[in-house]
Amino acid sequence: MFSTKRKKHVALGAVLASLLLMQSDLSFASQSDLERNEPCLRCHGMKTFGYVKPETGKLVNLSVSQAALDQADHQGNLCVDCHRGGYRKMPHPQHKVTADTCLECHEDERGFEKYRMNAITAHFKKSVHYQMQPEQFNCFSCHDPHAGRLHKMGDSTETVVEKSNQVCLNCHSTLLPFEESHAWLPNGQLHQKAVRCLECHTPRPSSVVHAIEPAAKAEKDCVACHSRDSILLTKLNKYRLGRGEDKLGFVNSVVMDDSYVLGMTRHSALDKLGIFAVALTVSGVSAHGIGRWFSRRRGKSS
Amino acid sequence: MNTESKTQWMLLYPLWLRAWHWTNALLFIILLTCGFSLHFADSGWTLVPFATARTWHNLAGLALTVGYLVFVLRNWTSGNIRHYKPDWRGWSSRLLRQAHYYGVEIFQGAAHPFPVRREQKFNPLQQLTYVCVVYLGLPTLIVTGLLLLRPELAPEAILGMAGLWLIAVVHYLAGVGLTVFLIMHIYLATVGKTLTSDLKKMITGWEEVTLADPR
Repeated sequence: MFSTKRKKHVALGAVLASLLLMQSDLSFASQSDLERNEPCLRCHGMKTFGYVKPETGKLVNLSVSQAALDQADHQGNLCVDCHRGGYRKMPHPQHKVTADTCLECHEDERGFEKYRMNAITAHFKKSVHYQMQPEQFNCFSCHDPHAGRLHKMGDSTETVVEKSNQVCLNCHSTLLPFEESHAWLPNGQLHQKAVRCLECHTPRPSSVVHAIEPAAKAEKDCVACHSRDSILLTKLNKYRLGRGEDKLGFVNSVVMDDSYVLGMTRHSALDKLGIFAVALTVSGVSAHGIGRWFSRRRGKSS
Repeated sequence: MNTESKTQWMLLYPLWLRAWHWTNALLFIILLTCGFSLHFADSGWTLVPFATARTWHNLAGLALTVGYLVFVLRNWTSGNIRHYKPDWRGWSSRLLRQAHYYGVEIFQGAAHPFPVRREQKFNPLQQLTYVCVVYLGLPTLIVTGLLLLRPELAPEAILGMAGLWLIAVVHYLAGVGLTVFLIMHIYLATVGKTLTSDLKKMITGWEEVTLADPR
């Protein structure tokens, strides 16, 4: 996770921060300071802020990038909106009051229906991650609330795919290298750039992509995507379907801004033309052959 | 016509040409079967599973490409290319003459209007078709096929859409065109002197050649 150089920096940052904050608390912070997140970012804004967890010996990164926060969906939020209590003393005590899941704010019942958190939670609880490690796994295991930004209409598919796959690769590039686990997949690198891991690693049909399945149950049927009723229509391209575009007569032409998918972006008229041309040729040569046979019989009999 | 002309058996289809022809025949069948299975994967009419079809289509396509390059080179250096060079004098009227034979005279038991000669073993329609297939259809199929094999080399966008779409459409149309050719080619192999004489010549390489100029 951290390089050796980074570890040294983090350790140094932790020592400096501890010296600075030892015996101090946040009582000096004014309300206006808190509204600018200033007291928190004074320490957590440092790039190398973190500590070594005694129980595991692993570095815990406590740094929050101001630049990442500024473009995140939570950019308008205050730190104390989620980190609600137990932070006045520094170093902070073990038991703090923090929102542990997105649901604590984004419940459907609180007016956040558009995020479909209830459905996402139900799917998440079926995921292999939650099933294997229910205590350790929560929303923030994958989604960084300090930097996360939902995909917006108009985002290019390339950007959506890259950002989505990076979430998986943050862990799986070291746990289970893509090249090894996907050696069976033709043009693996191209697939990785063109579609999200989620297309194949969540059940179909479903537009909620949090029920991540075990590798053994992953989609391996090429035709699932390479067909008129491609699963990409309900997943990666679900937000485009309402546009009703029909480019040059292609089926599923809504995806053609970014990609041509064999078997999916088909042209009905050309498909029919091909079948008609072959059928016409077979009929023509058959008729010609029958004509030759009759004329030869007639020639012999006369 | 020319029933009294002198004839002689000649080796008009040397071994390299026959080897290319029959290899191509096998590759065409593989490419056609697998290409159909890939394009119409969800039709329920496919003969080969998608992943297998992809592997075989790619391998056969590469073999077709190598074979094509060998053919073009050997066709040129061996002098066999003379059969592909049209004689423009009276070209259109000879095309019509051949078409009339296939459309009318063949049913009347008439002799072939353009018997095989040492300098020209193809009839005018056959020559036109072969020139189109070998020097237009096959290169189109091969170039578009190679771009589909290495899509990163294709243009990023054509007419505001992903660049592969036009390449895929041209590849599909070239495939359809060559499938139509294959069907007609197999059928027209039965209109020689006997039902199997053309088949035999492509196995042995020998053909009965008319020595006198039929024109």
